[in-house]
Amino acid sequence: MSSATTTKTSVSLQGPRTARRRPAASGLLLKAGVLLAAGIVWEAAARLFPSIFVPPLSKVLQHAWTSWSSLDPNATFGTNVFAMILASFSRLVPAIVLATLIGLVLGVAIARIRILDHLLTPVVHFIRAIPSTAKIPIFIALLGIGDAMKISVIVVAALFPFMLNVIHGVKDIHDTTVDVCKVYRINRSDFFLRVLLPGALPQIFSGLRLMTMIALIVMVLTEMIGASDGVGYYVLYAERRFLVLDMWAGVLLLGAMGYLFSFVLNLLELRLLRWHTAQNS
Amino acid sequence: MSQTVLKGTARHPASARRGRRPLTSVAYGIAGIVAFFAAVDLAGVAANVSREQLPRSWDVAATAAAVVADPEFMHAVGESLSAALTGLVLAILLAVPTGVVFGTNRRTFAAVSVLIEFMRPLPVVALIPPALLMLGAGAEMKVALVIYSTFWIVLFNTIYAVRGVEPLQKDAAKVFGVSRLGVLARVVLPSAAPFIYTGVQIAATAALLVTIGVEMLAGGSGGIGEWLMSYLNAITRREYVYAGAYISGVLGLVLTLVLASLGRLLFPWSKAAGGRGK
Repeated sequence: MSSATTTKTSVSLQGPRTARRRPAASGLLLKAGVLLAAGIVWEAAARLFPSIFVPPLSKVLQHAWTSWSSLDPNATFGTNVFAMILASFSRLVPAIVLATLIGLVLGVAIARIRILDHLLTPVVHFIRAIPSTAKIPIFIALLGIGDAMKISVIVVAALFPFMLNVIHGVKDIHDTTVDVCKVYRINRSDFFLRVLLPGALPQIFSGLRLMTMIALIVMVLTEMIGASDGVGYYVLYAERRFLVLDMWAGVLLLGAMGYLFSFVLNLLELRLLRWHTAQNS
Repeated sequence: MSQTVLKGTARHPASARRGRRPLTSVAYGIAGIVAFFAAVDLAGVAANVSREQLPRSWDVAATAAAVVADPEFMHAVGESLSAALTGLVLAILLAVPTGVVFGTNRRTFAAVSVLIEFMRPLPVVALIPPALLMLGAGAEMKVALVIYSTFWIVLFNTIYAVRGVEPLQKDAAKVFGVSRLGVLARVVLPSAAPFIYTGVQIAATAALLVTIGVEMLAGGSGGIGEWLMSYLNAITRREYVYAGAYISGVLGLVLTLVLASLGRLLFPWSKAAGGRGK
C-alpha cells in the first residue's frame, strides 16, 4: 500500500483492456441473478409462511409504485418519492462533503505536523470513541431538532473515522518519497496535491466507504427522532401507523440509497485508483 | 508502516527516543483534551449559548463523577453491554463458519460477495421499525439488530481473510500429506484468525453504536440510549446528557483496548492483531 506514488506508466503496460471487460459483464449477470434469487426467496417465504409483518415482495413493490408516483412537489408527505429522497439527501450530501473537506485538511495537518499530532490525536480518539448514536442527544441539546442538528451530527459522526484513515494514509507514505520531494524542492501545493493526496488515496477511499455508511445510519436515526420529512422519518411514520407495505418499501428505498452511494464510490475508486489496483493485482 | 519505524530508529538514537516518548505523549494528550474542552467552553461563552444547551465542562465533569456512581446508570450500561456482546458473540458464531465455507469455495464466494455488496449498504437502523413490529421493544429486538449489523462485518472479514491465505502455504501442507480438513485447521484458520479478529474489533464498535441507537428510538428497551433520551427530555438536567455520552465514549475506548490486548494474547504470532501501532 505504501508504494503508492509510482508513475502511471505501469498502468498502460499492465492493464490489458480486454482482460478487464469480460469479468465486468459476467459480474453484472451474477449480480442480477443473486438479486433475483434473493427476491424470489423473500416472495416464496412470505407466501409459504404468511405473516402480517412481512408481506410478499411483489406487494411491497407494487404498493411503492402506486403510492409514491406523485410528481407534485406539494403533494402530501409520503406520496412523492423524489421529495422524500431530496429531503434526506439535502442533509446527507452537504454533511458528507463538509466532513470530507474538513477531514482531508485536518487529517493531513495532523499527519504532517508533529505538535498537532501529539495534541489532537487523543482528542480525535476520544470523540471517535463516543458511539455516533450517543452523539445525537448532545447535538439535540445544543441545536434543537432542526436540520442544523442533523447535518452537524452527521458531520461529526462521519468526520473522525474518515480523518483517522487520512492520517494513516499520509503517514504510510514512504519517507523516501517525502525526502525526494524535498531534495527536488517540490513546492507545497504540488507536494500536497500530487504526492500526499494520491499516496493516501487508497486509505482515503476506505475512509470514505466507512464514512458514508456511518453517515447514512446517523441520518436515518436523526430523521426518525425528529423530522417531518425524509425517508428515515417515512419508515418510522409507517410503522407507527401499522402501514406495513409502506414501511418495507421505505426500508428497501433506504437500502437502495445506500447502494447508490457505494456504487458511486466504486466508480470513483475505479477511476481514481486505476494505477493502484493495476499495481497490486 | 514498518519503514517509518525503521527510519525513526535510524535517525534518532533509539533508546533516548523510546524512553522519553510515553510520558511526553501522555502530557501532550492531556493538554490536548483540556485545550479541547476549554475551547468548547470559550466558544459557548463567546456565542452566548445557554447553559441548558451547552453545560460548562466542569459541570459536566462533576456530573460524570456522580453518574458513574449512580446504580441506575450502571444498570443501563449493563443492559446495553449485555445486548451488544450477546449479539456480537452470536453473530461471530454464525458468520465465521459461513465465511470459512464461502471463502474456501470459489463459486459460492462470487455469489456471496454480491449478496454482501447488496446487504451491507442497508443502514441497520432502517430495520428498527420492522424489528419493533415483529419483536417488540425488548432485549431480543436489540440483540437481533446487533446480530444483523455485525454479521456482515464479520462475514466479510472472514471471507477475505480465508481467501488471503498464502496458496503456497496450503500447497506445502498438502505436499506433506495433510488432509483437506487438516489444512483448514492447521494452515488456513491460524493464518486467517488475526484478520477475522480485526473484523470482530470493528464489529464490536458497531454493536455498541447500534445498541445505543436502537435504545434511543425504542422507548422501554432500557440501556444507555434510553437513559440519554430521558435526560434529554428533562431540559434542566442537560449536563447529564453530556456526561452520559462522554462516559459511553470512555466505555467504547475501554472495549477497544480490552479487545486489542485480547487480540495480542490470542494471536501472538500475528502483527495484524497485535495492535497496528503507529
